[in-house]
Amino acid sequence: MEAERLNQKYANAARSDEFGPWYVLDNAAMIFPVMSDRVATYLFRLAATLTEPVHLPSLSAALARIAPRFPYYMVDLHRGFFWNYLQPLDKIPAPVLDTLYPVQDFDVRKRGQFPFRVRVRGRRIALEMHHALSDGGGALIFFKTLLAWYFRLRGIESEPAPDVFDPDAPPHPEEYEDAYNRFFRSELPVPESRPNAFRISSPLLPPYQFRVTTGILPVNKVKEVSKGLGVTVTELFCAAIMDALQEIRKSYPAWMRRRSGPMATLEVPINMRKIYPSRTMRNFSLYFMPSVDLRLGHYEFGELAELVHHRIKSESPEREIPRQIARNVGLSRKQYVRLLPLGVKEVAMRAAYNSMGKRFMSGGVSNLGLLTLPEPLGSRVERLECLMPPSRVTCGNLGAVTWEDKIYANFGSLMKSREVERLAFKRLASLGIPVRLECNMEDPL
Amino acid sequence: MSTNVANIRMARTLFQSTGGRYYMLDNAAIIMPAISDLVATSLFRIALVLDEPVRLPILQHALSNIAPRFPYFLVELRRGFFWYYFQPSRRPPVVIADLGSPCQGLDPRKARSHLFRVRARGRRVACEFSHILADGYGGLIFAKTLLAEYYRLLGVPSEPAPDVFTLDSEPNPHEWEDAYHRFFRENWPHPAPLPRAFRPPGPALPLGQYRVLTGILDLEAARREARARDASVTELLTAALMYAYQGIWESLPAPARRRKECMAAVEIPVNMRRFYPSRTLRNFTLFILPSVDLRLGPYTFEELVRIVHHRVALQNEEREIARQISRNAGGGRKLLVRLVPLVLKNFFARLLYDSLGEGLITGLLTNLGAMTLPAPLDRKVERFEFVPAPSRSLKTNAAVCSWNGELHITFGSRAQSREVERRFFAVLSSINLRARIECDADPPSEC
Repeated sequence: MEAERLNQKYANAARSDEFGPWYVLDNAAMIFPVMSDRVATYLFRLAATLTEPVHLPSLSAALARIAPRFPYYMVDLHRGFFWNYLQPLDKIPAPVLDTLYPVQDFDVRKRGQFPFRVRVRGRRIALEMHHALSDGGGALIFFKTLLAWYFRLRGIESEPAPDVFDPDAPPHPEEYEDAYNRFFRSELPVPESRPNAFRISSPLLPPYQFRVTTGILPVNKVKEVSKGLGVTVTELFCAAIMDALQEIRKSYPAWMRRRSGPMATLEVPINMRKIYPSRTMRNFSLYFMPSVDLRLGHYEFGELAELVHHRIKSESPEREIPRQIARNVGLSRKQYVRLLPLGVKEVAMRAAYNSMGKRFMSGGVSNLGLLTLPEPLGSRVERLECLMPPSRVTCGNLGAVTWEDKIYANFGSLMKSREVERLAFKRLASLGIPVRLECNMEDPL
Repeated sequence: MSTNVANIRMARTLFQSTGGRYYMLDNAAIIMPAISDLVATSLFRIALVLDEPVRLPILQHALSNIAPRFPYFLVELRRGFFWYYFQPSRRPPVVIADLGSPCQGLDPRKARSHLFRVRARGRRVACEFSHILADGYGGLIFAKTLLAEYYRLLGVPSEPAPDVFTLDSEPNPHEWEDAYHRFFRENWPHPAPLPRAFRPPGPALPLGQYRVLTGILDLEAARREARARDASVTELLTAALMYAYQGIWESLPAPARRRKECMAAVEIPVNMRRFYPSRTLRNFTLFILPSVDLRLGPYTFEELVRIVHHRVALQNEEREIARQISRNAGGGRKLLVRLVPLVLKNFFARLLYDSLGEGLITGLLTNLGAMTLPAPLDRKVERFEFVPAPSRSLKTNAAVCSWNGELHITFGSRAQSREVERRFFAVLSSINLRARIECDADPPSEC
């Protein structure tokens, strides 16, 4: 009972004092402002390409119209003495121009600026959101609501849908709760530590350049291939990236192999709203971490797919994954952690994240699956895409979306080397999946 | 290439010295004398129940006939300065009566006798082998050859079979090779460290007692239930065993559950001859260890089957299991290890065996699969029985085999409590696999 009361107390993210209301960052978000800079921005992106050019005034109006429905996003980041926090920002968000390089050149710590931006260019509308604010689950609702209202202002009414919010309805308090704290169970053991991950070594692109390689795959064929291997589409993508990492590791001389970790470990986010009943629009995702030991000889692709499959299925999301909450929330509730000034916390977080968090991962696969828009908007949108946040150390960060009969698989990379993307798509192609490639930089694969 | 030469050299176990021939222990066996005693005898048992009473003189005759075909089993354990070794025995093997608890009453370190024994009583012929000598595969070939010879002497010749040795053939030198060393891989990573396992608490039976309890299931029904859950029979039984451990763990008071040992881990031996072409009759078995963290439970039985299925699939691969060879055989090759006197080796062996072996395991479940016999012997044998070797810290272990459409699950236990067995068969009967239970202490009953 006591634990539940505490959980409720900590889950309440909206606070108020003599200077007005403010929001606590959720448990996962606490680390992101500390770790982000103008290159590794921790922005992720959702983009929709419409069938006709975007009408900017309508988009601006739509954004302004829906903004009051998402008060917890209309904030900017402030430094407190103990923690970063979000303070309501009395401004109306406006779309900005989309450039060649997405999710770059953004400083979340800048005052007077929303931790998200809506970008537009030609036929494309994109939402880039900082992870301190929300994860894909929350951003997707915001984005869909924006699209629905844009089209409504263009004269196309759409049917109501549960993931399109009504701007006139009051926000539900659960929408800005910290669900990690709400579903914290102190009795769970913390996760096992993991061996170091293999990383490719490559020089970085010049600052503010970000390469996006998009593979467009027919969904039927991908499903057929993954079914033939007895795995899911996400697992198939994981295996393709692991296969690429395996090839790259093999090409390295022995001393380079020894310097890097032995495991190909991918971070596969799982939407915890599917497991715990929360309506939160803040972060609420955790990770599967399928991995294979690359020291144990060559794996055939089928073997890799099977291993990833067994690895993911043997970690039941109801039991193993909440251990991550037990670790993260448990630590943040410790009295001595809370009493450290923010500056000290930042140093400690950076050290901990560099030695633990990043070290575990070779890359990630975030598959949002089949996305839908309420009718008749579906026919007005040509494609939907997502992009994972940029990272200086991991390569092979894949964001995938299924839209209508195609899967849009986006690799984002800050590295000069294109090997992971090239080998992963080559592998998918070798399985008989026709892959069409696009890239925002010249010299595509 | 140099590894190959070294491997072949290290795989040799037969040596000649001024005192005569002697055999080295294989890599898995070297640790066993240190951890065996009068309680944990390291004896496992393969028993055959015939359709008529055993004729003792004929059995003795058959044993004497087949003995020369298995020179590497006719040995006694001796202590050297650095290692234990086997010295060929001058004693002829003798059939003894099958009285008292099985697998008991032989301290392999002190016995100035063979490390196997053939016992008979009524319709039952039992071969008890020390794990220092061989694993289940080797023991089974010996038992089948003995049976074939016994029936040949009775005038029932059997068809040739690959796992029944013919007596006029010469023993193949590969039969006593140390296959762990032969298939050793240099620079292969060692297994990852594992957490310690939960042990059902409770007092042990008095010295010399080993309770054997067998549950008999319909094989087809068990297969059907396993298939319905996308699992194998072994995985289904492993999950049932974990479920039994979980039940015991949940019934403990909270302070006992807060202890660090909270994994329900079931060791499943894997016959490495499946992966590597070896004909050895010495040990060539390694393990997979599916486990669940009991603190994350309680799990439902169906959930456990699913988890076990995926965890077994992850571990049951040649490259994963080869890590154990790399650690075990690699350790035995280190000059430093080799130069340590046996007394010290034994001390460290006990420590290592606890921290890397039994300490990580809640119980053992070995599945020898479907038994086969060449015609017409298959009609003469009513049942096969396997009894796992008693162990000091793992009080209750299980051995499984199938014969004639029946699945025999035999628990060998040193614990007074029958909770593990009771809960195991209870969960099986909850999925409509009702076992016929037999226990040497009780009259037959339904569970």
